[in-house]
Amino acid sequence: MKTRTWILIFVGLLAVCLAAWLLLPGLLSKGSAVGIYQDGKLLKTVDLSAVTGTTTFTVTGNAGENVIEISPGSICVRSAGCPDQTCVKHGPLKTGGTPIICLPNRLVIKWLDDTDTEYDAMTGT
Amino acid sequence: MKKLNKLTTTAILTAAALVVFVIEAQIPAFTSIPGIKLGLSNVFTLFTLYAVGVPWALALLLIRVFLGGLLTGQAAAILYSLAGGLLAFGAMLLGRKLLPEKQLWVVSVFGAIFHNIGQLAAAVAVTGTSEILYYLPILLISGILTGAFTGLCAQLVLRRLRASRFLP
Repeated sequence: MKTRTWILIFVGLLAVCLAAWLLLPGLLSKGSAVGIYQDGKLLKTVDLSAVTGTTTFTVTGNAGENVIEISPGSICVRSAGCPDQTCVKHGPLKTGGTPIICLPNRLVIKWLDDTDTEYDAMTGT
Repeated sequence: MKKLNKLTTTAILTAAALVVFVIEAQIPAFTSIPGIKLGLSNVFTLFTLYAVGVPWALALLLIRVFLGGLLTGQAAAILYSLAGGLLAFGAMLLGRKLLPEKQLWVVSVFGAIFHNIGQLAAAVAVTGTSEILYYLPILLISGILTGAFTGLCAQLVLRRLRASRFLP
């Protein structure tokens, strides 16, 4: 194929990805319940609309501790033991935004959707 | 090239790739999105793939992943690096067979795209959270742009070296 064809293909792919990146947050669930997962297991659920004061929750993993700050309507990672600090720089979990992820500690903080909460209700956790 | 020449050339290129990798790791991330970086050390993998040979490039890649992870103190990241690196290497190997050398940058773009897909797949497998895939579009954008850049770097160096008869 000609170089010009390749450039067109990649520009097209860029446009598709840009559209997906901008549109995806709107498709995410917008509940107020947040789940904290480590190694794919649910550690804790928090209903952010029911939180009254600021509390912290510490998760320990291979790369040290993650201190998670829970305040009314907001959840973020305050400090992390790993060198890259990606989860701290992410900032608070925004409505419809991407989950907070700490790869070294295999920690994920994300909005729960309806199926997740139903599952929890059934198992009684 | 004689085998000894290949060995020494690959050794020098591996050392250079490691230095570039370590320096690049010191640059603070400018986004909160994990996995976005220039990937400059891939210039050396690509160059070795075209100028020395396939097994030599694979050796460079593996040594760079393991020693790079240890030198930057991010041993936990080796798994993601390895998943991305091997998938990218497979893609670039196929690209090298199908495309002429003047389209090396295309091969590099595919390498970068598959590197990011491999890393993301490893992250999904490790955390068991498929929501990580929301990062796929932005990582593909970053892969296309950085892959084209690193590919052009390798392509220009190769062309100059061949033109000056430094390489056959």
